Amino acid sequence: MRRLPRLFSLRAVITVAFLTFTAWSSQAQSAAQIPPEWNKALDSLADKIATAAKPARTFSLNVKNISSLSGTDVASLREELVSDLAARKFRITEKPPSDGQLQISFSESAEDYVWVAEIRRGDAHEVVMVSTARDVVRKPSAAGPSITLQRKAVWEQAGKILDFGLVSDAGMEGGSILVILEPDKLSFHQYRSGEWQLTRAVAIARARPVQRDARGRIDPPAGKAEMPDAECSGNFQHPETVTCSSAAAVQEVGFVTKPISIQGHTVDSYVDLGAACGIGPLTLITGPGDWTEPDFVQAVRLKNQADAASEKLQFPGPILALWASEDGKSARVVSRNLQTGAYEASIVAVSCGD
Amino acid sequence: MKLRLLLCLAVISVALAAVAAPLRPARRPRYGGTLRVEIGAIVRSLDPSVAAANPEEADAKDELDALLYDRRGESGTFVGAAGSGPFRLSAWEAGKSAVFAANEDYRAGRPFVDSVEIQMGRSTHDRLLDLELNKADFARIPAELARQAADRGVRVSASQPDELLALVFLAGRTATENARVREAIARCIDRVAIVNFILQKEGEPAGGLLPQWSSGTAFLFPTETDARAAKEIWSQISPSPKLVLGYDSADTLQQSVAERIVVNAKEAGISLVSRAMPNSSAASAHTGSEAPRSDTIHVDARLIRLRMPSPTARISLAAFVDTLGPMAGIEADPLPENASPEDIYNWERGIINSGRVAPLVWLPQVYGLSARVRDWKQPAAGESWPLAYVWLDSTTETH
Amino acid sequence: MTFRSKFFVNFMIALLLSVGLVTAGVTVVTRHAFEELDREHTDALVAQFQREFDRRGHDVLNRVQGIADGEPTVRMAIDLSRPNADISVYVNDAKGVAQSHQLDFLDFVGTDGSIISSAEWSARFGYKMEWVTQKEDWATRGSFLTKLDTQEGPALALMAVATVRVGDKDLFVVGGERLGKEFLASLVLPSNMRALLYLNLDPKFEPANLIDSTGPVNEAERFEPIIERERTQPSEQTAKIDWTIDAASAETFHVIPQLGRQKELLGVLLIGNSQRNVVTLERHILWLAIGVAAIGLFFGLLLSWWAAARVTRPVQKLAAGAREVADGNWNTRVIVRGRDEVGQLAQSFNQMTQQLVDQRERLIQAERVAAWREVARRLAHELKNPLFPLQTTVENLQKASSQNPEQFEEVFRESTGILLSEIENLKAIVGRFSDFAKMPQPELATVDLNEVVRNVEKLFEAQFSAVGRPPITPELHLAEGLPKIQADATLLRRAVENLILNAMDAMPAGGVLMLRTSDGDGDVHLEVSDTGTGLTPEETERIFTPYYTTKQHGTGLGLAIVQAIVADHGGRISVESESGVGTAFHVELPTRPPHHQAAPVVIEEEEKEEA
Repeated sequence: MRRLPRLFSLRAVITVAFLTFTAWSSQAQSAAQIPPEWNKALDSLADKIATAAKPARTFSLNVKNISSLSGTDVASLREELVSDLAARKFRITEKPPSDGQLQISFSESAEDYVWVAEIRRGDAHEVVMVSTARDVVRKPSAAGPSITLQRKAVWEQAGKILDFGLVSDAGMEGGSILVILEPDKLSFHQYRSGEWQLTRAVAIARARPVQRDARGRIDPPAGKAEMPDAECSGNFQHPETVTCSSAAAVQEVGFVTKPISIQGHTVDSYVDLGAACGIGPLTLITGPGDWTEPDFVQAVRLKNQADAASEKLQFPGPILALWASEDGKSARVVSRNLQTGAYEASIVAVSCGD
Repeated sequence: MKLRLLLCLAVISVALAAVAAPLRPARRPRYGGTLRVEIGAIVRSLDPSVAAANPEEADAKDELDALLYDRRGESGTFVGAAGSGPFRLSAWEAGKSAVFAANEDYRAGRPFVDSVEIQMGRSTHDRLLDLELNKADFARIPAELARQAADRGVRVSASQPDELLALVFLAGRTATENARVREAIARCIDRVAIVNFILQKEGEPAGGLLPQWSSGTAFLFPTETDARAAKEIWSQISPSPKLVLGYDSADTLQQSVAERIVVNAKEAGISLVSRAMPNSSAASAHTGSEAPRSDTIHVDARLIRLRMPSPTARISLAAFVDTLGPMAGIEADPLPENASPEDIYNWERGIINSGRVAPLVWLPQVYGLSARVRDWKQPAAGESWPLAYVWLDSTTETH
Repeated sequence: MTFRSKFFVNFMIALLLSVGLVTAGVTVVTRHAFEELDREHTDALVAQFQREFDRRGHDVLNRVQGIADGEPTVRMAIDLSRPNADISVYVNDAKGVAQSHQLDFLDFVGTDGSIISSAEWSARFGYKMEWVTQKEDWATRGSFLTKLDTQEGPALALMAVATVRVGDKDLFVVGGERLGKEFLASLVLPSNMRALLYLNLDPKFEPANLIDSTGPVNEAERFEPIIERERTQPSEQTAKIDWTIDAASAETFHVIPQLGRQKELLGVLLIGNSQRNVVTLERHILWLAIGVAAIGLFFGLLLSWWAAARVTRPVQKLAAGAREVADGNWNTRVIVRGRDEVGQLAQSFNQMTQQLVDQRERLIQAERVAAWREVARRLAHELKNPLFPLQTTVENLQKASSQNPEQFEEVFRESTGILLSEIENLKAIVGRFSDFAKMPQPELATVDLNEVVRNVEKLFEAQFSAVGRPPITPELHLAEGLPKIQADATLLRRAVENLILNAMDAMPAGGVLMLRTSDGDGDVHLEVSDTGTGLTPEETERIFTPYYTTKQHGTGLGLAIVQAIVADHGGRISVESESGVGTAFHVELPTRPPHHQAAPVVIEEEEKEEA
């Protein structure tokens, strides 16, 4: 067997693979399926087109994307729309003759996606549109690396979240209690009647105002919530037992992660996870930006020159807190949505396969 | 071997550089330092009972009030006591300078910087120079100078375009009562040239009243110029009127745009001259304030700046209509709270189709920042300067 | 006109003529001199304008070339030569460069003629300046005049173009200075001259486009005809404008067209030369002439008065004396001092009048003697007739007494009868003579001659148509408004009666008797004419001699009496007759009889002169 030239050594292969991965689109999510909300929107759009285009039925179609939708999503949406139109007895043709032109524009406003259909028949020009929520949870696509990161949004609020955790609800079998650590309180939410309901909030008294870059961490099993200048303790499954008080002194240790260097860049927000998917220990790192920029979480293998083990899981804002979960396979992520300004609590989990 | 490894690493570095955002070390904020801010306006008093002399002063006063007050009420005015916000006024020289010291007891946490020093009445040229020489940390830059500032090494931050420069045909003007007259003028304006040359590509041509990022439907309003059609329309108007386009005498951008529109009109055979209007209340209209007065000097149309009070399309559009309505004689039913993008589009379309407003360009808010300013977050439409959030990186020393 | 007046007039004519000629001569010479000077000044100013124009053009060219050669421009050209070059970066460059190089106009123009940056009209970026890309070697063209579009409107500019070539792309640097009042202010002008510039930038004449060193010119509309002529036919010309009715306000303009690159009229330079100085000088000359004339007039008056005193007064006295003589005052003396010709003339005059008086005396004496002789002769003749019968009768008585005493008684009775008849005849003759001798002097009163003639005619009306006599038809032609005369009405009536009797006697067969009055020359005229037999010339001469008659009976004193009466009234009587046709007596009576002075009239030098 002829030995491969040194150029094609293993390092080189990995390097090229890394380049390939890093040169790919920054979006870690790939769309294989359209969210139901989008389907509904397309359906509505098809109805509006059908109403506006009557009695014409044959159109040439042109699609343009002026939103943040990926090319794959746009292709999927187009396909779905054509299908919806066909169901309404419309025929899309590439070649003349046609009754008119249909221009579909996938656009977005500050809050939503706005999908616009312009129907041109001779001198007539009509415009119909639909809107749909932009921030939906997407199922990851089949394609992709063997490790994927999945984000599960747990909680969102306007106020600052330092950390959060879930404990089982002692009062309700199968239930959970969501514990939210905020700069000025520790709140407990229980899932009742299909929604989270605040059951108890314990104020955190302080002698001094909260630090601007307040940090905190919850250890649900231990029943502790700690901040550099305050702490809470009790049985989180029984929120009524929890009390909070200010600390005698400010303790930074434990809240400041020692920065590490990855490919020459300093990363001071990361968590170490255990091995997963047959791959050695993984470390979830965040991006290098500051709190004004969108961030991401990515799994890397530090021992392998910080090879990327997953695609970047994008967040719509900076990641303010990253704590490893107890199972070692997920992390608690507190981020802020730059668009809405809301603080979001998510769990990022490592999953194998697509 | 080593050479090849180095080569691989170099290639990786290049790839990373090509793909990733500008990589800076993710740093934790630091406390301390004085943020040096320069503004062009002269604020005579922070007393709420003292009205601002012009919108420029009103804007600046609003920004300074945001440092002193905790929050705004629903009406947009600040609530609470002065000093309940992230800063407290520690020194005040009316019309010249002010120093705001960090409020140690602010409920959301003490600001990172120890103080904010405001220098007032600084000209655009001086602000740019000071940013370039690192004598200032933060200053607002006219959008049309953003490129020049960046070329001179100033760190520039631009928002999404949230300020509309529009041409408004004033109500009650005989010369512009004819819809064809308005149409001819609107068609002859070369918005792309205004954006590319006058704004130096800091902005977008505007066809509608809302920017694309807010409404998502701005692309449905055409922005192309059609000088030939304008010429043809004008040739059919008899007698053809002589028109006057007014602009704020203190606004150099308005002056440049007005002069360009005059040139566009001249090429289409339209008799249009530009005339400066007294600054006072004729400068950019802060939406929500009273409509600018243009009755002191006769003009048939005027340029106006409309700044979005909110990223929300409905809110901004309603605010624009409140300002434009009495000025241009536009009447429109109020939009419901739950108006859909289509409703908003139709409302906007109705106003544009009336021909009484010709949107020209969308402008971003552009700020110059020194290298040591960190965690600067571009404020969204309607938001104040987030000076309480920034911190000064001492490792990038300044003079 | 008196001699003095004539002398004065002639003197003044001579003076004025000479003054006028001198004035006209000086004026013409002065005007020519001024015109020559104006021409020189104008030529100098035109040359100065041209030099300044060339100098500025050269300066503009250097500055534009300097900009083109400068590194920023070269870098701009290099940058713009790249594909998809972003020209918007340079849109504001022209203004700063123009200011630093002190140019009023500066444009950076791309290879396709698009304006990249414009200092004078920054908003014109992107539009074409096509004339720049026309095939022209700008390097050799130098500076030129051109019309440029600016924000404030078209302007006249002194421009130059420099080209920066990179590869096959050109960057044109088009720069220049405004040609306007600042340019005119740089010219050095004499005080009575000014330079105007008309900027031919509009399709028709615009008064505001006519400027001088301070800006738009007043009353620019007055220049419209001049400018329109230039616009039709650009050429050098001269024109004059009278600003007011005052000739000193006139201004002469030398008009020079300013042409552009393609010989189009872009401007008109007007060099104005005020006529005030020359007109003022002419007026000074005129006023001086008038002054001289006035002084001359004054001296003329003095001279004429002196001359009159020396010359005309004695002449006037002589003339007065002559008039006196003509009036009949022959005893007139003119006293003139001096021994010159005038004095001699006066002496001669006095001698003449003395001789006249002497001769008149002699004549009167002679006439008296002649008259006495005539009277004696007539008396002798008249007396002789009756005396002869008396003598014969007495002789007869003597004879009878001596020879025929028996017949003596008869002869005595016959002879005494004849004696008594002849004695009566003698008594009649003596009586008429006595009457003639005793004719009184007229007692003057205001008399209407027409009234006298009418009255006398009435007296004779019956006789005109007397039975047994051929009728005589009277014709009265009495002038209306006949002046009244100073006369003796009685004597006058007697004269008219005698004339009528004489006319009747001349028409034994009847005829027409015409009585006509008229006036003229201070006299009244009476004409008494008949259609009788007429008189022979001899008879005409002697008709007024006393006792001369052509009739068989009559004393021959009638017409003599008429003549005496007329003479006593200071009048004159004449007769004209034609034999077989008729006779007309013409009587001229003055309205005032002449003043008969006993003393001689002396006209002294001290007497006031007549006008």
